[in-house]
Amino acid sequence: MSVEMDKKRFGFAATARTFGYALGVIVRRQPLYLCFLLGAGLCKGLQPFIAVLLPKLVLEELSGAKDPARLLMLVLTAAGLSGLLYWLGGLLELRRDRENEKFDKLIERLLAQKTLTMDFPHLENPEVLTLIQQYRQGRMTNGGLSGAFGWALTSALPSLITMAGMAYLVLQLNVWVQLSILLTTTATLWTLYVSMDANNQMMLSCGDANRISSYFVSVTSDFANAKDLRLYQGEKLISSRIRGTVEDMFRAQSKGYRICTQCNVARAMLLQLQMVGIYAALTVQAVRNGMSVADYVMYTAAAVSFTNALITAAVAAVNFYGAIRLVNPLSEYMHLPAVLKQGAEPVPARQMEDALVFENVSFTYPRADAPVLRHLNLTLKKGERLAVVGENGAGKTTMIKLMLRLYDPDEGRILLNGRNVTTMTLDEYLEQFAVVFQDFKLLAFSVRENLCADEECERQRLDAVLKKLGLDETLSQYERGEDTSVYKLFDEKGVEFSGGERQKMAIARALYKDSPIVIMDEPTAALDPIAEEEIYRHMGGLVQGKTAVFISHRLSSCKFCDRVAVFENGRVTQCGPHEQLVHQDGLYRRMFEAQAQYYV
Amino acid sequence: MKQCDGGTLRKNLGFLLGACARYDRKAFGLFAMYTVGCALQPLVSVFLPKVMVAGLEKGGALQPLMIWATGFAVCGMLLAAMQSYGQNMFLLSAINVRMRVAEELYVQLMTMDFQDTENPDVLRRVELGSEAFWGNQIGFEGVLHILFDNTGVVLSLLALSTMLSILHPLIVALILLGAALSFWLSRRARAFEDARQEDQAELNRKWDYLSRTAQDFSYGKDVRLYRMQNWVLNKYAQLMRAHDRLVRSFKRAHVPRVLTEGLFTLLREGVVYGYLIYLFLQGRLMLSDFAMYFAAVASFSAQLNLLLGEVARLPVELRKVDHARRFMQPEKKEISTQPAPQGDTLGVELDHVSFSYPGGREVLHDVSLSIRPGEKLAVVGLNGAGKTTLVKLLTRLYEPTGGSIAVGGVPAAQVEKKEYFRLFSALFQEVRVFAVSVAENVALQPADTLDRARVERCLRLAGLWDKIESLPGGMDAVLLKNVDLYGTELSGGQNQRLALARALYKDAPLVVLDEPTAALDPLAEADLYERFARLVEGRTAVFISHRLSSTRFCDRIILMEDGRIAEMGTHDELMALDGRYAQLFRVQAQYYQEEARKG
Repeated sequence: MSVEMDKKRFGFAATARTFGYALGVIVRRQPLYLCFLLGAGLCKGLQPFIAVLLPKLVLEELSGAKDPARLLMLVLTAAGLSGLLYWLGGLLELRRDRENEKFDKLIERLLAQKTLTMDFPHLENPEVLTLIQQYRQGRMTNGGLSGAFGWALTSALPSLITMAGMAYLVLQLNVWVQLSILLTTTATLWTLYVSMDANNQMMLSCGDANRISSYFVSVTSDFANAKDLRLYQGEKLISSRIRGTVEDMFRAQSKGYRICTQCNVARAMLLQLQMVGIYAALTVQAVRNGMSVADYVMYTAAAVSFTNALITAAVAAVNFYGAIRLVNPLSEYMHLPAVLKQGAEPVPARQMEDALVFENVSFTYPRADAPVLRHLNLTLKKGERLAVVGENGAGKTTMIKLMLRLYDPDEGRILLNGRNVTTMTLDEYLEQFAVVFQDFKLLAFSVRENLCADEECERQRLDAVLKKLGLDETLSQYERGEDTSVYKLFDEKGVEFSGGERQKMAIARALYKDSPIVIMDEPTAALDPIAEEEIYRHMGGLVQGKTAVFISHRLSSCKFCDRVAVFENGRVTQCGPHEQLVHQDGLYRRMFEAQAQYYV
Repeated sequence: MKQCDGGTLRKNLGFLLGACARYDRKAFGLFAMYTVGCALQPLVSVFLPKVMVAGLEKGGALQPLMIWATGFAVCGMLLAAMQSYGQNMFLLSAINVRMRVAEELYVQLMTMDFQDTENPDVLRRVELGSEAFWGNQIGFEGVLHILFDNTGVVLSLLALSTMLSILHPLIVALILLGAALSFWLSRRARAFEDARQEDQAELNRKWDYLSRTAQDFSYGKDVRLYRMQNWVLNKYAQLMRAHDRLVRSFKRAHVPRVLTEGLFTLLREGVVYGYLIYLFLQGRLMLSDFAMYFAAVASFSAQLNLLLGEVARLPVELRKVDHARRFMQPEKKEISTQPAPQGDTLGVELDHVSFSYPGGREVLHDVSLSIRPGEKLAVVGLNGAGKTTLVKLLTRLYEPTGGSIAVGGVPAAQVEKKEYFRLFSALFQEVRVFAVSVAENVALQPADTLDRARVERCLRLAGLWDKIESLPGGMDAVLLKNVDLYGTELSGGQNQRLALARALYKDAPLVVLDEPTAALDPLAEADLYERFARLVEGRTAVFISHRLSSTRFCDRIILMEDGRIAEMGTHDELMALDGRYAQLFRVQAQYYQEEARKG
């Protein structure tokens, strides 16, 4: 990825947008958080005033009337106020921290919501994946938005309040003192700016290194790699990559880091100089113009407190900016636009003989060179069973994706019951399809919820489906029956069902949906021959009264289909009943013979 | 807590400091620098007001005060520079050391016993141990920083407390009491949290699962088609409520601490001011002392709280380090007594081998089998019959729980595992492709140590060379999109060819094929079978499949059922036996044979 793009992604405008996004979320969904944030900041910001004002009042009294009652009152008031502010501030902070954790979860939920609902092509876009990875990386580094608000903003707010109050006292000082404060403060802020700039460069120079190193680290802990890494002794290859990436990162950042260090050292020294300078300047003023010790103590404390607060606020602001900026990819992600055509019309109620028609459909994946589908024509007749076969990469799965409107065709159109599918609302359109994908996914919740894809289920429909696939028997082995969770990932008492059992669940889920069109993409890949045979024997009953499409490499599945469509290079080259195709010279016969040779 | 006892603490500190000594000795110099700066710096801010106010009180001349100020400025700046430089450079040093140690962990992850990668206890330790390397403030680096930062603080606290003791020991006692109370109360709050650690761990696990799943793009198709959005978001809402309830109880546990700290703030301010005023009225104190002592008290209690906060964090972070250390310094060491057998064709003997998972039921029972050098053996059977377990035992990814295995006449258990692994080329159904170049994927070695001509030869033999040649960069093209966003993604069939090239490159005497064509189309499958024949030529090979089509080129077939060898023989023998194998074969063959009869 280009540095230019990152520059924009992590630039000021994008950061302002992220801040706006976060603030919008807080104001709309969690206004309490804002209240506690401000309240706790105010309490903490007021504390230094006691330390500045009380000594002055006490010293004035001590160098003047020395009235014990008044002194006692002063001390009690100050101590009482300190205690009170501490209590109030402390309690508000606890409440604020709780809201902050809530905020963190809320952001994660909103992110999930976006992922679950945005247009599908984004999910296969590597740039979008990069956004998410960059966000994760930033979140790891600085705690994400809640980190920025909970940490940087939390320290900035009190300092701002302190600064504003102390400014009043500092303005009373003579102009030379003010000038010296201005000078050292400016110098300090300058070091801050330079280091911020260097930081910026460092982050950009890192580029993809973070992503790459975390990929290789994940390779080591993804134990799906374990067999290959051991048998082929790949550990040196992987660890040398991790080392290499880290070293590159160190090298790329070394200059920036040096500058940052210099700035930090200079700033620490300047702070000392400034403190001594304030004392010295006020001493000069006190000696030349006369100033009570009480005033001297107050003004020095005020000036030191002012400059410290100013620097703290500035550092916090820079940190806040930096932390927000790191999660800019989040707001970019949240604002990803719709890319699919969306109609508003309902699905035509009348079912036509040609249920689904691909008309001259061509499609090229974004960022790919060659089209996957080339002028594809295919008709799915109402109630028929169509087998789709072809070599890997011939476009079978892409055809399904277009059928499900996960992508829009580049050319041509797809008709459902005679109407162009892009004119219909997506939700209602998808109700027409039940699909078992090759890489189907079950979630780690209960079997029942998985079959219904929701928390609520329709009892009778569920029972019928469970029975049809023999899952009722499988589940009766477990104490919790259909409430048994799939996998142990969410529910520790869950069950690791076998691949075959899971595949049956995926089929059951499709049947429960009870849609007019059923699509099965390699539905028996995980089954052994006996189980496969069993499924296919019952398949006719399973999809009775529905239009069904089967994609399979096992040509045995073509046996019970009405027609077979052979995909070759993105189009259908042969189409007809098995009996007919097997006698035609063509791909189908070659494939059939390749499989049959082992059995005859 | 166990990790706080002397021995373990020493081991863990030894682990940390040893790593610093090994990878970055500078760290110790930086530590000295920082500590001196950190310890002495507060004294400047305490004594500066005192000297200045004292000068003003006396109504003295400006010049000596300015000299003092210059002195303070120089000292202060010098100390600040030492502190800041030490701290900044140490940050880098600590990251460097952490990365190097993490690298040791990653290597360990890639080479530890395979069986441990399936052991929940070990995985749990790995997870906790990996946490030690996640960031600058936690685990490994966290402990380093706590040690680094706080030694100076302790020194400066000693100096300040000495000074305040001179004023009145009870003031120091009061502050210490307040700090101790607050420390105790925050430990109690933490103990409250610890007692609910299981609830929290469960919530975290669920949350992790949910966010991982919702963010996993490969769930996208199912989510949209089955409209799972509300279902998943409901789970989010439930977990968020549960989490908030937990957080609320945690925060409430801190209320007593906040109230007590507020009370002690009140007491401290009242007592110190009151006492200073009393001393002044008694004439035992100058106005200048007043400011100084007050600054000292504030500095002392602030630093004390900081220190105690850090000390409270120490055991938490140390626990993570402990997990990492125990994972990385395992107690058992492998003993190898025999060199690996030599030769291009080796025989294998399985002698009454059985296997059960730790604490689980036995999945392989008393299997005895002799594979001749150069023999091609097919292993067939239904899912769950024990075929894959057999392969894992043969390759020593698993160790038998009963019986023994010998290869080329050498007992497998006596050969060092790394050497033993060299004997096998293996292809599995799922090909693991890495985001490195094609050549590196074939050789699984860094680019500078691999044999490019051999890579090309193997790719040609695997039937993948044409494809690779067409890629920009050829065999240097990076695969997958994890590293290079526009990297090449091979299809399932091409991946399997890549795996074949990998096996050819390794050219080991024993070949294991575990359902390598299950996901391929018929033409690709047929083509690969022919190429496998080349791979296993003159080698001993074991071929696993639940499709029986593959058994034809094997010398012998064993049929596994329920963890046992149920039938054994050639295809014709087994068909004649008319047992389980014959039944399986007929189920698969019926369709093709019908056609053959008709056609």
